[in-house]
Amino acid sequence: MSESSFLSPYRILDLADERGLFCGKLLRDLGADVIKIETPGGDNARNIGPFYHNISDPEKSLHWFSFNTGKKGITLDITNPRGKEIFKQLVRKADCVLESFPPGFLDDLELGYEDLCSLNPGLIMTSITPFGEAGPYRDYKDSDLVLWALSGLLFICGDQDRPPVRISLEQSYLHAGADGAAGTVMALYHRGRTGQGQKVEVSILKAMERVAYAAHILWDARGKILRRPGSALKIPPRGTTTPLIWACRDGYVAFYLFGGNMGAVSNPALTRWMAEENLASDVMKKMDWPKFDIGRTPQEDIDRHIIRPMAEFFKRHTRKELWDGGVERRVMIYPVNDAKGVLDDLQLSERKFWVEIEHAALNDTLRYPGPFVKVAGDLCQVRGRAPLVGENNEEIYLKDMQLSGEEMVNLKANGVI
Amino acid sequence: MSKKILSGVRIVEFGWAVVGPLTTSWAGGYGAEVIKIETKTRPDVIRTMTPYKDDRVNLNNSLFFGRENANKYSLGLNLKHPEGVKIAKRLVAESDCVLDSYTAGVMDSYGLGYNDLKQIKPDIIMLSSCMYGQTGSLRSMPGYGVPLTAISGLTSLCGWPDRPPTGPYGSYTDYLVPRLNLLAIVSALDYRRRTGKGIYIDAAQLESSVQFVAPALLEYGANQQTFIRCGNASRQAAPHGVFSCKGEDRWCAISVFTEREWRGFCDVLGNLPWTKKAEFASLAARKENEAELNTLIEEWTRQQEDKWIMMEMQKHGVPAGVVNNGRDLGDDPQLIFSNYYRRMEHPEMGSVDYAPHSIEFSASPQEIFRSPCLGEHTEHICKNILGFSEQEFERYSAEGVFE
Repeated sequence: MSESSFLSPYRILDLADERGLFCGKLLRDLGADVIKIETPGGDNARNIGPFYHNISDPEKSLHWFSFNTGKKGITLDITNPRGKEIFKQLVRKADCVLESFPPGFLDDLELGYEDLCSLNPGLIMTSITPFGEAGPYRDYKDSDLVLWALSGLLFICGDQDRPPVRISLEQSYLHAGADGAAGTVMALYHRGRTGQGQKVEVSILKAMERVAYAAHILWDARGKILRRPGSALKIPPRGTTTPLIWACRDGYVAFYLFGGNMGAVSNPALTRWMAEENLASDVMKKMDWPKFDIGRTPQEDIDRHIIRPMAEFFKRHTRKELWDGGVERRVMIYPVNDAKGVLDDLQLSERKFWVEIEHAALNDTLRYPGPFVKVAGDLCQVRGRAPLVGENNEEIYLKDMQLSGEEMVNLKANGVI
Repeated sequence: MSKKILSGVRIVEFGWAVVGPLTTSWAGGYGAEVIKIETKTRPDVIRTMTPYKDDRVNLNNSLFFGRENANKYSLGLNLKHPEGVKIAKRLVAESDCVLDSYTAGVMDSYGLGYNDLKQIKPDIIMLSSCMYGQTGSLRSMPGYGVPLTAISGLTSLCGWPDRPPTGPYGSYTDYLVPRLNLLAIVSALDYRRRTGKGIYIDAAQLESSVQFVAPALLEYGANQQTFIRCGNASRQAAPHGVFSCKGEDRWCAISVFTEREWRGFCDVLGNLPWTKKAEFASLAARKENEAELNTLIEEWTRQQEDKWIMMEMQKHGVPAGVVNNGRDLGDDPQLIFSNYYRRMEHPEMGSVDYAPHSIEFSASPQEIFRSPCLGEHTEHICKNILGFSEQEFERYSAEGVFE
């Protein structure tokens, strides 16, 4: 058996919808053989935009492309009796099943964890659900936005004078997908040591509550409700507020004014830089920065003597000037990148992060993010494009499972594959 | 009772702030024995960050530190002392995995880089997690969650199209990277189980973070188009937003993807006359008239309680959820049902909540225990893991090796 990648020996059947696509993608990056099982005609997640050349088409979803790299793709209707039999046959030779159906869906089909274990006792089943497989919200419907809301994260994001706001690209399913992948590998490791398979459950709500870290701890520690601060941070005890995002000449930069030791390098270096352009205030020039205590400085003083001159300085420079100058002077000013800014990042290109993947059907090559960690050789790599609808049907059904050509025709005619 | 997933695995953490410490804290919940190496003279920065329990400021009272450092032991060690480095190496020799989240190059400067450590323990797994990775001209650029969120493209995607980006709250990427770090570590553990080989993992936090904006990156490459932040809107749904409800700063999130959900939504609103208008008759029409739609919805939601809207919408098959604040979370019926917040006694903070990780195993439950005080387990680790005698321990203590 070849052991060239982290998970080379394992086969994973991926039934997940958009809630779990990233999970299977990560396991594939790590070298597992991941077979994406779609309903005949293709998974609904293929309808999630953006789309290649803005053409809404199941074979052109850039969302689908992003989170299915390297998987094999077959179509199968597991609700059909014959489809169910075929699925069970696949399960016998698989290490793991990933799914994100509503709780109870697979049990009703007699394809739940207990059912599948009777076919393959060491099987691992990873289920990603919005709220958990039991409890009062078990059957509630989710969306990324609803999960942001219930987890406490949404309440603390956004400008004070507007409703709470999320990141415009779906995030919760990615956090949970990463956890699903870690859970799956942990279960594989445990099985390798003990022989025992098990069910792995990930609650997206719980995954997101961790991202909202500050909300519950502020209530627990001080009995205070954390309110969305906009792009600013409020420092106790006086609640002095300083910006995190600043306008510059061609966009925005992120700079956080730290007090104490955290700002001991950045703050004096920025003051010297500003002084070269006569923009540093006297207060800044005379400041003993390691002793600077933001939370005990009155808001008016900090605004007048520090924030305003800094804002003026940033406005005069481009993102690139501030970033390059900041690197040189050890001032932690960072560009607020859009997609192009990320693609132009010097460090990512020096590290040969990007991966070019050919899409023959589009007669084009697209640039993808590379592996999530850098390791030697083939251990973790992005392994080619996402599958077309039913692309590997013949390979899996004819070669692997030895179904006859005649049966393939029948299955197609009956909408099973 | 089956043994824990990671029982028998020992991880030495040279962690800083959130990413490193949270990665190992989660591993600890699944049974790994995690030893955090830290120092009083330059304490882990998160020990000095608010909120402190009841505003009592000291290195053991930051609840922020506490929550992200459950499930581990603390060894107070002076790595500037040559004997301190030797002790760290002795510990690594008895361990399976080392994690550091210092700026690139710092571990090498202590003589604790991967090349040093694999001499002592050839099959060691080491993961180094810094902002930009261990190679490249900006490798030693310091960073933390806020700028990382900005450079990875996430900040610019959060906010309103007519305003500067607000970005998600705080150090967003700090809660994304540990998931992928944990995945890399457990993958390496299984690889080592099968092959006997150790491995070095260069985990650039930026490279993990940009995975979360992949569709926007592909879109720019394919269409030369920049994905612009769009408030709470979605291309696939309308209405899709957060609506003001009765009470102060109360909101409910509602998402309507399908026509079936739209009909359920209209039923909850008692089929108000405007819901029948042609401009809202299909998703495309609702997207076109979304601003008007949202205004009409909010006229209605302002008259209702957030929880009532959520329940009614859910009863009618419409995805909806109240916007929970820090206090509401403790009252959330689903979180209560799953015993999410675990109240535990901490010797200095008193009774505080800890949270588990999102993954549960049917045969090997997660187990959470409280965060350590700084150096709380120094003596235990030295005597019981490293086999120090009483005299040896006293001698090193007197020399200032522990702190």
